[in-house]
Amino acid sequence: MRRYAALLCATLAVAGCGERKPPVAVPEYRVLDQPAVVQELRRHIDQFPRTLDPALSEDQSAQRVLDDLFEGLLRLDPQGGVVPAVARRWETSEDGKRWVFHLREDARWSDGAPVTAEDFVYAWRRTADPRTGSPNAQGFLPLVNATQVTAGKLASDQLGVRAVDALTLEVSLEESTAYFASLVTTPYFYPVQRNAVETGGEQWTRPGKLVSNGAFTLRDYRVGGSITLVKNEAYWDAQAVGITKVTYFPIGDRAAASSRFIAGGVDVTDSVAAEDVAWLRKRLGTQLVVAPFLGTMMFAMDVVKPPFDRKPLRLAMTMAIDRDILARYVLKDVYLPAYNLVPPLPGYTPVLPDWARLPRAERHAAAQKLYQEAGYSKQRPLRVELVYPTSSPDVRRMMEALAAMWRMNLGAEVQIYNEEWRVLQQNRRLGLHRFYWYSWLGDYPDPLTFVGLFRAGNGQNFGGYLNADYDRLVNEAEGMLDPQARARTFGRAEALLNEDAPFVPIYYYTSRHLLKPYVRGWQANALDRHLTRDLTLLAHATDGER
Amino acid sequence: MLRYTLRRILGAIPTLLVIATLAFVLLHAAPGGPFDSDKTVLPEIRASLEQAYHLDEPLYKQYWRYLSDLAHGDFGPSFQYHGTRVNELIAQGLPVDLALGGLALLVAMLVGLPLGAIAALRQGTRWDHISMGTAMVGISLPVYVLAPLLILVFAVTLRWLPAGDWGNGQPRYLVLPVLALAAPYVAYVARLTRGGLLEVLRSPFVRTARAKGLPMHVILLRHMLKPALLPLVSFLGPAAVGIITGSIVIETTFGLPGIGRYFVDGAFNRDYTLVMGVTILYGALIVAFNLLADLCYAWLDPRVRYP
Repeated sequence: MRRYAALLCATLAVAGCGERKPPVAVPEYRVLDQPAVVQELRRHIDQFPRTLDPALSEDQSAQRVLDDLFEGLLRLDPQGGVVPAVARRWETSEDGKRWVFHLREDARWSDGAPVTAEDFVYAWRRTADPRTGSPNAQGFLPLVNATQVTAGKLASDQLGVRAVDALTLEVSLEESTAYFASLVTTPYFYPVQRNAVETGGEQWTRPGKLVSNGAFTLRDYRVGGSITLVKNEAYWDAQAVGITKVTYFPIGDRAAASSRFIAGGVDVTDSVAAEDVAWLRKRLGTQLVVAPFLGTMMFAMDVVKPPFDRKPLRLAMTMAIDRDILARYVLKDVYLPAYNLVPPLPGYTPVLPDWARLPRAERHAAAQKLYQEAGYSKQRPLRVELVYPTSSPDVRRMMEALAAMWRMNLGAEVQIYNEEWRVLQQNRRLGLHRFYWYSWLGDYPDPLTFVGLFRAGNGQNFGGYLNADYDRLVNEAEGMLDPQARARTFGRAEALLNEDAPFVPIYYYTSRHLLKPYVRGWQANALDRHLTRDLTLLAHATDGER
Repeated sequence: MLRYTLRRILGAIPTLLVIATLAFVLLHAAPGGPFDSDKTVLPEIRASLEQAYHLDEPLYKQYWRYLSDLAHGDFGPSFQYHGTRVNELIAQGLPVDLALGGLALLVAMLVGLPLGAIAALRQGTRWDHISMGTAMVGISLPVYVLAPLLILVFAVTLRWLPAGDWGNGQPRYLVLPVLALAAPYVAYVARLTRGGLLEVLRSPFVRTARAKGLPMHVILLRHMLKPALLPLVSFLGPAAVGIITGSIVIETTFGLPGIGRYFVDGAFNRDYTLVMGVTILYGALIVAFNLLADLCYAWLDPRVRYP
């Protein structure tokens, strides 16, 4: 509440000193501390969702809509913490491998039918079944038999989930999985109604056919256009939902989305172009919300083939970058400098390499020494290509700054070139690149989603990093139930990774939203998930916006 | 005339077939596939997806399958929009583009024709310079500059109009995109009208009409306009297609649900069927509008005869 009071004061202060108007007219709001009469929210999304099928969706825009339409066993609260949803409570066995969820008896589908354990079993089996072709199937790998089921070697009814009775769901896991509670908040763990899926066929996610169990139902859906949801009166917690109608506007051009926001066409934008942050911060003040986001941008290396099979060289490359300068002057404080793999998480403090604390000159000298140790010098410089995806001029600028740092601080000749995103994905998968752009957004708020990337056999470990000690530590930590011991073990694994440096971390991602001061209930969280059910609109007056 | 039209339509089929073939070959030659993503897709799932979309078949089979579906008027399922057929995407998006393009063309004619006529009739005067100057600005200002500029002035600063969205085609949502789309065409129409009129002004039949003492507006409307519009008509055929399909920037900037975006997004996402569908549609539109322009020619110029 204090947050909103502060916001309110700031808004009033801005409204009070209308002497010098900025060249771009920014609406000034007088926000009252009472709910608005009309509770209709307008949200921006970056693209039109490719599908509203929880099993098949993978884009963030779809996740926004699905988070409003469906509700899983557990959900995230505004701060990003896990709270009960369809499951009233849950318990885990001693060894952490057996989870039992007790469903609330008042959970209903939008057609009035009760939400049962069977609905979850059906949805999960459907997603894990390779015939469904779900890009999310590997999310079920912690479950018993999931490896064989997703490979089509076992029938999907062998998956480690079963309905004990209508209101009890039992999940069996291969290993104890401490993050399983946050995992079940993701859209592909949402229940779907068998009847709706089977009778609706390919078009079961269309208005009139889609049966949902979340706070909202699908009213209007026009491919490529806006998507309108209305409050689901059958939702068990409907009295806690303030918004009666939410419309999602897909706008691909983020600068256009910002204009739409300023012109009053949307109340919340889903993203802000990095190059617009500086001027929007100046013009809109607290209406721009920038927060750390669960993701790391790095460059990965092929550690099997030369030149990056040499550890000193890898270390020299990562140590030679002045991340503070990069973050401030090139990235304009839009991202946070990263020295390691795992971004800050609730309950986990990133483990930084020792060199991160060295003064600049000392760090450069140490990097030089390692560079020479690897057999390179001014006369015989490292010549290597660095591939990044075709993107905005800002990215190009950053790449040039990095190449300049490597040249100045080491004498290395790093040739940067860009490839279209899909081409880069394919070439990476085929192992054609030695040094390339790699970004990872966490699936769930747990270090494992990051440290797992460098485990032997992980599908994302394209660089071929192999360290038996590392694998052992990660496996150990994965099975631990005590959160502190678990975090410590992950920390030790990360320290090994820092020593081996199979990648060059650059920055942690941030989420960036424009948010009208009259939207109440929004809180920044690491996963950047914001359910409309937690938002309400406050009464407000403006200087004549449209 | 009817026979000519029929012959032209039949002649369009091989053209479209060549377009479809080229598009198919180019798309499949592009590196990266529709199921390459930054997530790890399990090999079995990739295989199952490729099987579902027949990507596991040899290319000639895929090509043949595509053509036979096409012959039945089916553009196939979209790769990126699960559960949506390309036919539906086009059926929903095309009306948006047609409305935008049609209105923009109308604006271009309503503004461009008088502008060009004034410039021609008052050649060399201040009026000529003003209208041709305006036309030059319209041609030189690219749409990706003009569209955000219009939003900044009319939506953000003055707050007269919405900054985007289709708004179910309500007029106030259409004003800015139509203006942005029409601006360069206003300029072309004005310049072509001026050029055409200047040429006709010097012809003997106009001199005769003036010698007979006919008032200028009668000469202009009754005698000069038809022959003067000939160059404009040959421009309008392809221009109409350009204006319908060329709204990709407009669609993105204003967030409109047209099909132009699908073309670009589809190409980036390797949505083979979607890109093919839109390409073939654009090809068909070009053929159709060129035919229409040729038929208009015959109506405007009695000397043109079709064998």
